[in-house]
Amino acid sequence: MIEKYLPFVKKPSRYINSEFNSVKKNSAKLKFCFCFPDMYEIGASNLGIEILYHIVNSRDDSLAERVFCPDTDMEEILRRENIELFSLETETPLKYFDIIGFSLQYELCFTNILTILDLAKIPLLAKDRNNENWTYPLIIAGGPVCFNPEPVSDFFDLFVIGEAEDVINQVIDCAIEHKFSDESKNKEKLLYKLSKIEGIYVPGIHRQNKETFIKNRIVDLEKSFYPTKPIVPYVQTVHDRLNLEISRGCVHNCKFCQATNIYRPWRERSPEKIFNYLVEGLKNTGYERVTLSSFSVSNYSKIDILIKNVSEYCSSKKISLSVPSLRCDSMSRKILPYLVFQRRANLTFAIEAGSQRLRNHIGKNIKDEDIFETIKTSYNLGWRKIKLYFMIGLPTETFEDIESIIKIVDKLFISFPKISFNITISPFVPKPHTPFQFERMEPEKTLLQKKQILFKKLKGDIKFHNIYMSKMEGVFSRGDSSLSKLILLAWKKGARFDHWHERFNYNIWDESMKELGIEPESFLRERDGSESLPWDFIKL
Amino acid sequence: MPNVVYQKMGTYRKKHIYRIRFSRTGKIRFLSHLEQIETIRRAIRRAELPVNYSSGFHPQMEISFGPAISVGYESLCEFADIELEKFIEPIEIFKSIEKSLPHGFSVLEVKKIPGFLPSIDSVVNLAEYSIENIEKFFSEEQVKKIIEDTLSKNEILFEFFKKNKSEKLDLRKLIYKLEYSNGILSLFLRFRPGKNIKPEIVIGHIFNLDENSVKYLKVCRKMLYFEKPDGTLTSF
Repeated sequence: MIEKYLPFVKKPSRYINSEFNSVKKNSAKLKFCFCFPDMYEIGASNLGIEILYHIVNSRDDSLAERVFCPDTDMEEILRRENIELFSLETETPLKYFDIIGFSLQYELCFTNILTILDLAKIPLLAKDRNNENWTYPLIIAGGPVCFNPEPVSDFFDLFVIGEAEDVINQVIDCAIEHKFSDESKNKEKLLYKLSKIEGIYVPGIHRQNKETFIKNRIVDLEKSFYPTKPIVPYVQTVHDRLNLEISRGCVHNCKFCQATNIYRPWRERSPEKIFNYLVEGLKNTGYERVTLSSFSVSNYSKIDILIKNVSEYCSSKKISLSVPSLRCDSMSRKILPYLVFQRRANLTFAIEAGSQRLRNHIGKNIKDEDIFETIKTSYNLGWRKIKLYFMIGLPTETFEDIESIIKIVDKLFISFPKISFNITISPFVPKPHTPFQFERMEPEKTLLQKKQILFKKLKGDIKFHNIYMSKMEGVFSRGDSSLSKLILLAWKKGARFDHWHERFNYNIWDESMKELGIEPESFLRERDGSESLPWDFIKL
Repeated sequence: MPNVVYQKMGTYRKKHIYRIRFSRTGKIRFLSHLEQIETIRRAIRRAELPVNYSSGFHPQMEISFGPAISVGYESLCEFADIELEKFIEPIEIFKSIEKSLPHGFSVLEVKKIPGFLPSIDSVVNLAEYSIENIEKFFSEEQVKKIIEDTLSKNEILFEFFKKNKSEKLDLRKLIYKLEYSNGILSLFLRFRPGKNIKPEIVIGHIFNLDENSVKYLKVCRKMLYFEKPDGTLTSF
């Protein structure tokens, strides 16, 4: 049906549905549609959706399909032709699914949620979906952003807090039982039953009782399902490779990092299982690249055995092996020799702050010697391109700390004249459930000053995160339920794909905040330790 | 008999070259050429054939593809020449690749070819297209009349811009054959070295269709040929 419109859009391959390993079932008791509220090329790389998609499809009684946010040219066609947004696999209108599950990975996808619901002709607000003869799908969300769900709580019927591999089966069991009961048209009843499941937050029910606490879900990683037949996209996606999650959580305690804090404890998959996922995964996908994914690869307890086996296997199959950003420490230096085979992957090190004092303060206790030693090892092994991450606007940061970034980069340039450094600098955004959740987010004025200093004095190829995007991220990450109307207004004024530098339009947000009398500073300010926070009801 | 290649590393590599012809039909026609190459490379890896890799630090699969296909075109003549390290019956290759291709692609033919054959890309100079949906704009009589007029002309000048410079091309010289039957235009179009003009541009110009209308035409590349100086055609 959509085929005849594809000649008129950019990148039509986003909307083709027959990717290898995607699943098409004809019917099932329960229809689940997973939704990543951004473009296909970002969403199709999301590991969470990949895992859950295959868990649901492995059930005889259920089917899972996917939908991504159509680009604006496709949005225009769907509106003009009055076509309801449909799933990728079978082109079924979203309305006919029982559950639509959104993955919320970052705050700036919020307006895309509304585009998707609106194009599907589903009312945007949960309260408008409570019709007497309830026919709409249940609209639910999961992912790290749900650790403070309040800014989007008006749009969703419920949130899954934490890791969803187990709880998704409970939700589906409950929904099937309800669907085939006499009360199937009674949404309240279903929500009530779901609200009893650990890790499920139903704003309409839990909000009434200030005493309720929601505990996040944590899975047994070794026992939990991992896909060996991941979907192989046609479009080049942001992570176009076989992704092997070797561990979850992080052993370090960086105070700015939300992932460290919400994915506790540190858990590892066994080397045997990982190796099996590697062999099966490559056979089933034909990928030429593999990533060992972990927040802290070098801390995997049997990393020497694992990396040796994986790298030998990859080498024999002409596969290139990469790892996410590495910590500058002695363990990382032991891994590096295994990454030089085949097509050498780029190396990334997150330094975060220039001065030792500030690094200690934020809990990233790596020393200058570690940084130099690790980069020296990389250089000796032949790397000539290295990416470095820094943050600005960290708590207690002074202009002296900014000078320290310049100093350390200068020293690196002098010590390693043959390496070309790519430097990415992002403003620090205080996140819920971190030790820095009470800190003030630095105002754009001084952030801009710091940016200018760095731009002027810093060597290398510098990429700067958009400060106004960070500001909006800061507003939402510690925001409350009053922000739903801001998202709605900005969306009505045309905000789309705010996560994309070239599409983000701060004027729309600024104008909308002014119109609604919302003071961004009221969300960016320092919080008093005794003050109650919108996410207090979620207990880790 | 395998062709033996001497490699830098001091080893001999056996090579058996197979020419595989695929079709792409339905929605899959919206893949770009690069997306298609990646898709086929992955399918060949899934098929677990003993493909040769180039030597050195960045080993690449020894595979070469036919001329680029445009986004939106169906095709019955997508070619991949792959180099295997041992002989395998073409039917086995056919089966294993067919099984590992995504829906929309299909293997049409697999044949073993001699190692000294030049790549299709360097030889091909003519393509056969079928073009649907012209009846959205013209009646059958009109289409036939326009074709007749077109073929009777000695020259059809087409002006286009390349890097802000105007260039002229004689479309008539590029048309080897143009016919219409059962609602389908059949166009045999010559390539010019370095100047590859799209069939819908030719049709758009002949039928005086604007840029947007041209997008309604559904193009299928049916076969690639080498046109000999005497005007006879050989396929690959």
